[in-house]
Amino acid sequence: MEVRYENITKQFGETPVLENLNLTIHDGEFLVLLGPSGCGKSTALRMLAGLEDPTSGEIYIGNQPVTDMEPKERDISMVFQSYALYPHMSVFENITYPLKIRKVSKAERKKQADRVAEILEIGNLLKRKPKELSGGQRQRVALGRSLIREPNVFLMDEPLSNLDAKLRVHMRGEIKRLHTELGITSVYVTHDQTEAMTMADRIAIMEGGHLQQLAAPNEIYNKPTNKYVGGFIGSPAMNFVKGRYKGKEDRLDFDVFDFPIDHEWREIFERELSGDDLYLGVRPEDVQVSTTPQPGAVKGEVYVVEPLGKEMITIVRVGDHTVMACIEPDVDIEMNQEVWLQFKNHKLHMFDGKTEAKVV
Amino acid sequence: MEQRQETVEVEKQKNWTNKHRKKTLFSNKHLLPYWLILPTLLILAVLTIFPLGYSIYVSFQDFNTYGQPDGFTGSNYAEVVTSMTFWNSMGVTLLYTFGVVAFEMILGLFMALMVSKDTKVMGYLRWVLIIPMMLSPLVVGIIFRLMLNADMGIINYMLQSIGLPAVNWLGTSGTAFLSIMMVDIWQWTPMCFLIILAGLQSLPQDPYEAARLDGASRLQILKDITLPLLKPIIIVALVIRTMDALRMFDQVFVLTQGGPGRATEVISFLMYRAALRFSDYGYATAGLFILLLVTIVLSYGMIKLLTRNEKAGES
Ligand SMILES: Nc1ncnc2c1ncn2[C@@H]1O[C@H](COP(=O)(O)OP(=O)(O)OP(=O)(O)O)[C@@H](O)[C@H]1O
Ligand SMILES: [Mg+2]
Repeated sequence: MEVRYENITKQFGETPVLENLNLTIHDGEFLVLLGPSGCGKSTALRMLAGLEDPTSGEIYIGNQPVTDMEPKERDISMVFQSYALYPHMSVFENITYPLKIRKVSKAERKKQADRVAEILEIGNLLKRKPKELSGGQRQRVALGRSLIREPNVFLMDEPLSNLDAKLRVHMRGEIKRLHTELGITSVYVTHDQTEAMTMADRIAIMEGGHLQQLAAPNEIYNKPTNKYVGGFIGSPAMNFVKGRYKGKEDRLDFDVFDFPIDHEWREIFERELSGDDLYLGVRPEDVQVSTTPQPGAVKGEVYVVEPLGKEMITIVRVGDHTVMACIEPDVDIEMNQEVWLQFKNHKLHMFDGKTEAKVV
Repeated sequence: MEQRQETVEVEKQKNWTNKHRKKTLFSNKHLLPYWLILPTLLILAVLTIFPLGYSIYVSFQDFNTYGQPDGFTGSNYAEVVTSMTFWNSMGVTLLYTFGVVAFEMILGLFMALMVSKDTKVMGYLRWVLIIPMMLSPLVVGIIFRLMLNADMGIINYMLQSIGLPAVNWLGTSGTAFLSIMMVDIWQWTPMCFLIILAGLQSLPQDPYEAARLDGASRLQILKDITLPLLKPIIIVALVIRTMDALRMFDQVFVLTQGGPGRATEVISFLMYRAALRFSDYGYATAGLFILLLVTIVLSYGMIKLLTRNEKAGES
């Protein structure tokens, strides 16, 4: 079912958490809410679930306004960030509670519990109480309780945050598979960008109570709408170099190096830029490092080299700026060595110095 | 496989703590706490342990006509368990205890559930309800004696003013028994209420949110979430009230003196009379020890109930 947030504002007392959120989640879509801690992701989910009332605005599920509906009537299942397991019930009773409420027969409950437990690898824990489980096991039980039925909408609030790397990758795949099989609209909260990139149909990036960008993972990565999104997505993070637009001289001035521009770019800058200041954004993998002088390259000095196995991160000082580059692991580079940097021109991002919105 | 690994982990942890415990147990630093609680232990010994031991001794003594202990005997206990008055009192005591505790618990639970959400009402209510508990039971007894007085009590006055006949509250067996129960309920329901309310407010909130999303109705939430989570608290309140009700003395002393007949003669009052009227200390202490035994058995049973159900839930 389609889910729509319309002009949703939420305040706790005087503190604004979300301001005028407009967000449409298509029927059957897997939407990932991504953002830093405290940006209001859980609050957004809890309002959709009916556990929190919006201060103003309206939420629709399948074109029906639900703001006045009880959680129960919305038919939503949710994995809580805090797990919210029933402490007095065994794992089996926990995950089958939604079925018990719906008067599903005992045999069927058993069958469903076994199915879910197998996916989540908690089959051997069914008789235990939550307090006898580890954090990651509890989290999987919470996931199980929500996956055992087929609601209108699945809500998952960082459901894999407590699992080890291997299990997380595995569960990621299982959730994605289940979603494809069932085709139920899902909203998934995380602050792990790998999870977001791999699972999402679309990603909504939130920060400071606002939706920063809503787009497919590739688009978010390749065309960030502002400096925040550019810096938030991608690891290692995008390099930003502060500079000035010198229109009359057909160049961008970055103190230690210049960047020539043609009149096409000039037109765009004249139109889009609010002042003269701007940021150049370039992803580390779009920076080329050579040990010999190259035409048009910027000279710098290697500050640190961090080999990672499949690649190598090189931090280069160019005047007052530091630029990070991801390069082949077998390049022979040492600390304090002089190197020449080249940016892949078509992969450059320019952001306004004041509004931080994307210019090119 | 995973299971086995986990047990190995647990074993390791146990070994670790044991090792470290041994080391510290015999160091001097560890003796300090015992020195610190020594004064308290001494006071306890003088005020509690000695009298308790002495009364056990008394309960096995034969008393001569001057009320002096006069040699070891088991006949006190034999006399108690073969006397009709004792079993009558036991019946009265148990019936009374069961009645008031059940009533107080249900009423207290109901009240706590009603106000647990409404913080404003609760703030006032807490203060009002605490007043009965602060009064001395003796004072409460006297107040009720005045109110229940057949000729000039306010209760009969009110009954008559709405056209009902006056009731000789303390004069007939049934109403006398109900009257002492009423006093207890009036005074001690607030305690059950407060204990349960405190319990309710300390319950984790997120299972409730989960249950609402899982589709449970209010009644199902009460049955499946609130009551099971509250069970330990309820049992604590139950044990405290049961122990207290079993040894109730004041209301009977002030209101009925055990009468009419022996209708309200609870064990503590029976034994008080035996000791202080008839100087039969052996009989009285023996009877009270049997009451103590009943109290222990009942409390133990209730606590067992709590832990057994917890285990049963696991399997
Ligand atoms: N019940 C509440 N009362 C007051 N403030 C709250 C309440 N719940 C959340 N907040 C505030 O609202 C903001 C958003 O909280 P929220 O839990 O939605 O963040 P989040 O994006 O889920 O963060 P995280 O990634 O750490 O879980 C935070 O600043 C938080 O302090
Ligand atoms: Mg959160």
